[in-house]
Amino acid sequence: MSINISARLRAVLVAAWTPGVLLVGVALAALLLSLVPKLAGDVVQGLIMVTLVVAIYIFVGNSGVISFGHAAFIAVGAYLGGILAIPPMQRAFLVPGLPDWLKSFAPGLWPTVMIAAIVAAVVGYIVALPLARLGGMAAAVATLALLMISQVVLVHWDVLSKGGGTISGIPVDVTVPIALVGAAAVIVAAWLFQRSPTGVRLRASRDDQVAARSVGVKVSRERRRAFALSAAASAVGGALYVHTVGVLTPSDYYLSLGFIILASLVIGGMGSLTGAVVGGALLAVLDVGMRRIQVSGGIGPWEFAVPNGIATVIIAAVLVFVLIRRPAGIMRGREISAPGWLSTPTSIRPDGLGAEAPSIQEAPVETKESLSNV
Amino acid sequence: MGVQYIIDALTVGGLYALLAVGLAMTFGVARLINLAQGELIMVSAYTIYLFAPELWYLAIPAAVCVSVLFALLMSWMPFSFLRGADETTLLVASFGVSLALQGVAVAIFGSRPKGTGFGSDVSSSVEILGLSVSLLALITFGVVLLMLLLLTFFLRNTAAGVWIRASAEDYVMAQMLGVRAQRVVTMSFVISGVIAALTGILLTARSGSVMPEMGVQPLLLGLVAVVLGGLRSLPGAAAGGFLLGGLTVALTVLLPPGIAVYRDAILFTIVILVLLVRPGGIFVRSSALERV
Repeated sequence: MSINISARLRAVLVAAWTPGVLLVGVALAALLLSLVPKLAGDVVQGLIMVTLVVAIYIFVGNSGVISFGHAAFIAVGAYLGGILAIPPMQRAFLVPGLPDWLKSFAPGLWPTVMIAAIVAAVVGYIVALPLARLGGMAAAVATLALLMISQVVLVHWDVLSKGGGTISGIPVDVTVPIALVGAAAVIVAAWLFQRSPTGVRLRASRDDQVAARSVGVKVSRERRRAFALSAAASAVGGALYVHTVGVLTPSDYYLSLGFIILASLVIGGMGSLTGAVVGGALLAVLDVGMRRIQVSGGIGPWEFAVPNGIATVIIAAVLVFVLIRRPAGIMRGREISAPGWLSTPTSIRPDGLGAEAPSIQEAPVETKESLSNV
Repeated sequence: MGVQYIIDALTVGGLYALLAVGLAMTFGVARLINLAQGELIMVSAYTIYLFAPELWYLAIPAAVCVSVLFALLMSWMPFSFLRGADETTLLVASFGVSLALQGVAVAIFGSRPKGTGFGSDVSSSVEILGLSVSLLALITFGVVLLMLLLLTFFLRNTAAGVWIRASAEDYVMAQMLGVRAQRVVTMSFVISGVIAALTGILLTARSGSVMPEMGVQPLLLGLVAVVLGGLRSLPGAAAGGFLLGGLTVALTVLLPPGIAVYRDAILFTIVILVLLVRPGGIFVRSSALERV
């Protein structure tokens, strides 16, 4: 039996394998789970979780530089997306501080998400102009400072609200397909970025900054680009997230969110897109599962009382346990790569099948032996 | 008036300095930024809550003991299982420990703040040289100064202190020269536990109440302070704490009322600017940093 696939198709399949498998996996899991009654809302939140973790991966995973500040860009997306989604009739009343031209501007969901992404990308790029020069703990603390600054602005900026920064009245209308499109877009963007010349140069600087610099990689420039894209993707997640809660609250976009998405990325394995998706999915399952148990007081037929706080303890224990078992994350920086029969060209195999593939690697050894025999 | 602000700067700065030194201790020896030190503050504060106000003289030593006990537990689980993991993994693991301890506190005590009545005896003011000074501010500054002096003495003049400093300088080399790695790590956790307990006691006396996430904000300010001053230098960390405290008070005094609500935004903008100029910390010689 031989599988005849043209070389071009094979190349496309191999290149698209990782994002393809991830997209199909995420979509299947989401659609199957949303068949369960009353679970659709949780699936939407889970998909957004995955989106946010992949978004932070674009910068942190590819550059190796920690950021606590991504919650600030999620907030940019959430506030823009949330405010523009409030019907204009109520907006003047709910957000009285807005300038007039923003009071009646209602472009619809996807244009709003695009606007949020573009604004976040611009802000991210400007912020990264200085921040991209930093690495290690200096970068971590600088992004933490950025998050604290953004929080002060959200709470006190009177364009947004008269104190407290809370805005209500956002329609809760994001469905599973919409969240799925958002997650898919960010996963594809992350994959295209890491395969792009910029992404490859950035990953080189992550693995060995000195070596990358010595061959001409401008580390700050590549980090700036990744940061801007990562901020845009975070804003996409934020603009969708706000539709699941219906209320804008500054403290939702602060330390706990900033830390938890970073933690999920590290748990999944920060070196690969697959790791980011796995980490996001694990977080989503834990978070939603725990909330279910806490709210309903049991799973299915089993009823038990769970005191407040225990859900957090269980999530934290799982995080720590996974890190002990796998300090480099669940995926250890690996991707799901195309199977051997697909990635090795048929022409150099005797029968065009994968079973013989290892013989290619063994060949030189045999030659060596035969030479020594002579 | 001016003197009052200086006293404020010294007390706030002193608390940040303590936190910064605590973080620098475990970072120097184990490359661990221990976010769960914030929860050591919290457990010592809850110990105070259980004893105070009647048994305050028991509460203080008990708080130190409980905090050190938790620090030792942490150094075993999970950190002894994570030896050799990279800094990011350790940081995230410490975040996990921090979350878990907060969860336990919520489960036991509930998430609302609890009043303790601790520290009401020292909230009065005393007259010194014609100035009215809060007794608590004096105590805080005294404790900070004493702790920093003791720590300096310990690190300079005892064998254990020299081991710790040697390990912070070059961990592998110190091990090769016969420094017991495990013992040094344990000591650094104990010291950070003592420091966290003192901070927790002082913070509880200031606010009079305790709650599960009370350690988070102080710890993050300590983190900012330690990176500002220099993670690899204990004196630098302490100086970073005083600098951050001084800046906070200076901004409170100098900012006009209209933009006073943006104080923290301005403070952290300054922090970012300083980091851009001195990424390795203000008080670290540039020759000590890795160069590309």
